[in-house]
Amino acid sequence: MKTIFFLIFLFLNLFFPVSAQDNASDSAVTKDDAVEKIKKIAENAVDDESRNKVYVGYVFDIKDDELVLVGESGEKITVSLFITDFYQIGATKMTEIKKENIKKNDYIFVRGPQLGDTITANAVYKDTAYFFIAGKIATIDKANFSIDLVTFDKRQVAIDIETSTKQNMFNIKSKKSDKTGFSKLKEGDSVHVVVKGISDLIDEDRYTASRLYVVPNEFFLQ
Amino acid sequence: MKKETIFATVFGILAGAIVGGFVLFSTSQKTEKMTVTQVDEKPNVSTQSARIVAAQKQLDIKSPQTDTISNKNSVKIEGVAPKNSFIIAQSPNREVTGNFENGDFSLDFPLVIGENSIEISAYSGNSIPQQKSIKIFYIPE
Repeated sequence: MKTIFFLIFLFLNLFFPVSAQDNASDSAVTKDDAVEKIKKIAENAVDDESRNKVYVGYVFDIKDDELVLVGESGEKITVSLFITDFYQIGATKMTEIKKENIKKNDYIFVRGPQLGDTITANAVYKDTAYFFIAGKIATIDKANFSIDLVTFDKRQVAIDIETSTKQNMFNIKSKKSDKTGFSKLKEGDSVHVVVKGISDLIDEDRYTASRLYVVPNEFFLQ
Repeated sequence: MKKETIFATVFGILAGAIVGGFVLFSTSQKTEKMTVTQVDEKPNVSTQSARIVAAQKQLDIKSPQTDTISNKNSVKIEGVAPKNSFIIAQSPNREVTGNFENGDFSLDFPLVIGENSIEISAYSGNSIPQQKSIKIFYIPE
């Protein structure tokens, strides 16, 4: 009987404790490494998001302590305004404004961490929205300084060209961009148009170009 | 029941529990290692997808990512496009163009304060371009 006890004691205390200790220390290192890696990844993700990510859209509703932003995909995002600075983006600088200067349908972008469905805004910037239209010139209305465009996604739109519209054209000889004017536009040319406004809030087929870039049809016939 | 029989039974249960616990513990360790490896391998997956995109000759912007903030007044736009592409990068304030033969492109693009919506169009072989848009927000420190 004593011999059996001795053998069992030897078996349990010499073999298993050592191997259990080894496994424990191995697993501790592995678990710690994994936890550290996951923590680092999470911290980096949060840092990147806080530092580099912004949320952009137009103001759907604004209350005392929060506003609702409609993002570019149409999603509604709640923005908490407890610790928020407000800025107006100008042509060459940004100036601090008050919350009262932010109105419904204003185009804004927001910086701050997102927790769940809510962004805690560190800063809200009121800016000007632009969108792009591109296509081929179908007809030119010289009397009204406008062009009819068939867009690359097959819509028909009219583009008004104003004196303030900045117009440039690709020069196929020099391979550089030159300033151009309405009189040099031709049917068949490809044009890239910048329009001021929030595309979601504009439901029409006539736009005013704030900027125009022309690729002459000859470029594609070379 | 003899003492030896009782002891042998108890010992059998103990030894079984220890061996079972050891096996379970080893399995969970392997699962953790696999999870960490998957996290580490994510960048390789995106690199592979970028190569696939280049092979398929589709316009793709590698950097910068859209909706990011810059504290510099210019940005280098890099990506892949069909070979021999004529690329136009247009914002409300500027156009930058370039011809790129080998499928990779890089354009230095000036930024203005606030939002910079940039539409990148790549013409290659026909008059209908491939297009992608990004937004970069320039906020000086």
